[in-house]
Amino acid sequence: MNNSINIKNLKLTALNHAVYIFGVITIIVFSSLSEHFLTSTNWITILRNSTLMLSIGIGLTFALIVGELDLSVGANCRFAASVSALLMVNHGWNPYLCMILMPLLGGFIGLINGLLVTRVKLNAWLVTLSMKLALVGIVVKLTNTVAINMPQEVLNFRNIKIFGLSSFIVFILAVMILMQIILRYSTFGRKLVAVGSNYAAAEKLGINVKNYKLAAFIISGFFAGLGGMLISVNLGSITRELGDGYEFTAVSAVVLGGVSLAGGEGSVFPKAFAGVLILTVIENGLTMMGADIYLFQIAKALIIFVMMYIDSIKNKM
Amino acid sequence: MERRSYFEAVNLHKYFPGVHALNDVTITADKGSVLGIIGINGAGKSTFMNALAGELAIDSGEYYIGGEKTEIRNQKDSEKNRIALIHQEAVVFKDLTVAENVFIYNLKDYTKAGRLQYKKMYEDASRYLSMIGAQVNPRELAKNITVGEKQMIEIARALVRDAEIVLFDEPTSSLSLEEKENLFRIIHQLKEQQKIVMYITHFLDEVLKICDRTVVMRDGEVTGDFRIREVSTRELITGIAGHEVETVVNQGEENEGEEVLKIENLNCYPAVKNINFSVHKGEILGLWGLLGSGRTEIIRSIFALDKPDSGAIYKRNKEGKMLKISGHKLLEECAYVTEDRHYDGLFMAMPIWKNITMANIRNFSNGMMDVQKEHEYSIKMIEEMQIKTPDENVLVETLSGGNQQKVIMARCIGKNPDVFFIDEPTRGVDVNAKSFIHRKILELARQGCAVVMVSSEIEENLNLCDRVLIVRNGTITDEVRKTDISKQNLMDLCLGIKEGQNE
Repeated sequence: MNNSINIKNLKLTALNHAVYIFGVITIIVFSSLSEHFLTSTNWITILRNSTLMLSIGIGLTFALIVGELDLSVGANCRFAASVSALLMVNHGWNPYLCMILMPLLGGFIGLINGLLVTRVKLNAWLVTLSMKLALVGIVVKLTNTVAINMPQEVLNFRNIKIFGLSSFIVFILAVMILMQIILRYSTFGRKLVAVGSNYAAAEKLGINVKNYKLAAFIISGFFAGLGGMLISVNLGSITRELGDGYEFTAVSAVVLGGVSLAGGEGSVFPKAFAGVLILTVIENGLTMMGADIYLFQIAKALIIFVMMYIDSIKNKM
Repeated sequence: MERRSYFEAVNLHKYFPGVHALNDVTITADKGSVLGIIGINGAGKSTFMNALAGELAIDSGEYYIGGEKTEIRNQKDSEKNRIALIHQEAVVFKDLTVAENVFIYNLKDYTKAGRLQYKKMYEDASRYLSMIGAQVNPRELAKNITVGEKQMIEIARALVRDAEIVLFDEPTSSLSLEEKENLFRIIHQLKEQQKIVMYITHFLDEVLKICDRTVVMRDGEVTGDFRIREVSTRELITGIAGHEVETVVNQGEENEGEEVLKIENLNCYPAVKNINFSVHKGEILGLWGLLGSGRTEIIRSIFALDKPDSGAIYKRNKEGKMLKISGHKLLEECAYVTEDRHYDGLFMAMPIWKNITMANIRNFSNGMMDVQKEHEYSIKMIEEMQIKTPDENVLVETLSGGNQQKVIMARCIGKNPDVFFIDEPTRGVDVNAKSFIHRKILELARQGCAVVMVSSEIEENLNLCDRVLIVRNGTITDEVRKTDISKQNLMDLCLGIKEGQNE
């Protein structure tokens, strides 16, 4: 009898770590298909390409932890980046100030989302979806969908290297660790998880549940804006595709990594990070093999289905 | 071997990770009888019922029904064997009508050319419902009917399926007095129709009242099988607990400590009307009334969880002054055990230690959590509260009801509150845990904590309270002091019968 329990535990452990097992398999497959895949240059590329999604994913994880979904993150990223870039390029504002303005603007949008959800008591999906539409509208109006090129001051950040990596990559990795520490070990983080785990119970303990939800929305917006900052450095311009559909890619990534849609469960590292990295690796691998870009979309969908299926098997055990 | 009873479950075994949930369980039942199944939470009775209902499959063992060997691996098998389970919380679809709910498993029989034959459904539903004496309009939406009526839907479903074996899982836990009486009548009726009724409950008086025989379970094993006529309550309690259980009684002198909390003119329409009372240091104050009388609503509006329309709350602060306090602040300062630990009590998916420290998180942090200290403290509390668990990292959802309630108590005690609100301290809790929790409540009061308790169990009010306020229709109608508290008195007053002192 003990034997069957052991096998069950083993299966559970495997299912719990399915995403990592999957990641390792992906890496093995791609590296056997392409000799350029496992090179340090390529991995730096992968890391660099993942920075935007990672930033958005960190913020989204906080929203998901309290049991809410923020569908405005993609548009928010584009909005914060575009407005700051316009101020910088067309109105001559200080570039450094404008860079800092990006996450702050994002956070401000998050604040509005959060107030509408917690104080006016509107549904988060609809609030953030409407916010997305509004933000896209504003951006199109302001930029006429013309790409905005960054001044040299911003581009210089790319050339500052720390441990051989561009400064913005190291920056977001460091911020990721910091956010994980906050989530895992701070009182604030503990209360966020409590609110997401059981809202009604947290309320009865005198935790100011509304403010914690509000904070999560602000963080979500802040990191969307921060994503804009990273992409400004990375690409040197704010294009009209920026952030388009990113809310869904980022949700898929963090959920793939193991952040629960139901709230109360998840981490920035390793979970959200793993999800983001795997999606980026697959995109990178498929590109290297010269696969059609649309194949990535299909692959992404399949992976998410499979991972959700594994999750449902796990919950039935 | 010849099968003597109509129903026999023989040598059942079921393993969960780390638990032998059913250990060689053999239970038999005859037609036309009511079999009680009693035991503490985690004794295995729910596992047994769920196995019969096909909600989980046993690892080994055999079932015989009507002398024939049969398999019950899933709900279909269970249905084929004509077994029906009446759930503790009735499973109803609140946006469907009563009739649709009754025939939810048989909608195919009422479909003609892809359309539901509503007329026939309503007629048949009324017929089945009237068979059990339920006066529910089959056209009513299920969300508009009472808990008791929802249960009637489940019983009617069992009748529709022509069940031979009807299982009741703690059916009375949220019923009103009247609904309870009606349920007992129906069970009697089922018995007369030569069905087998199996009845899981915590309430011994119910077993004594309606069962012919009862099986006692403990730690996954059957430890006793009694004929009701030949057994005493004490014997049953000893059987359930495995040892003698004392009844905890508040024997403290009637003492008037200083006022700690004062509620003034609290109104929250329509459920709470004109509430005035105070609680004193070291006092256990009961709020007693029938289900739906507004007891819980009063507490909710004190904490401003339902925003009150008017009224003020005063609480004595550390300097000894009575000051006005907001509901939210009050929640922060005192401890509140809610009625439903699943809904708004515990963080089910979190480990025990996080649950225990959640109420007084400030004591364990200076911005960052002192996890080490949290673990140490939890281990201490687990020991003090005698919570049965391998360690503090176990998820709360895997604990039995009694242990879950102890986790909540541990959390509240850790807060060291001067006012303690407890709504249903021992609902769904086994006898051992119950007397333990009672002892803890008394201990708290003795240490000077003011306790406000809501309990549906009359004994709990009798044994623990220094003073009982009678709640009827959302307002306090009477006050009974300790010397006057008696069963009759409390019942009469809550029903609104005047001159209730006839004992």
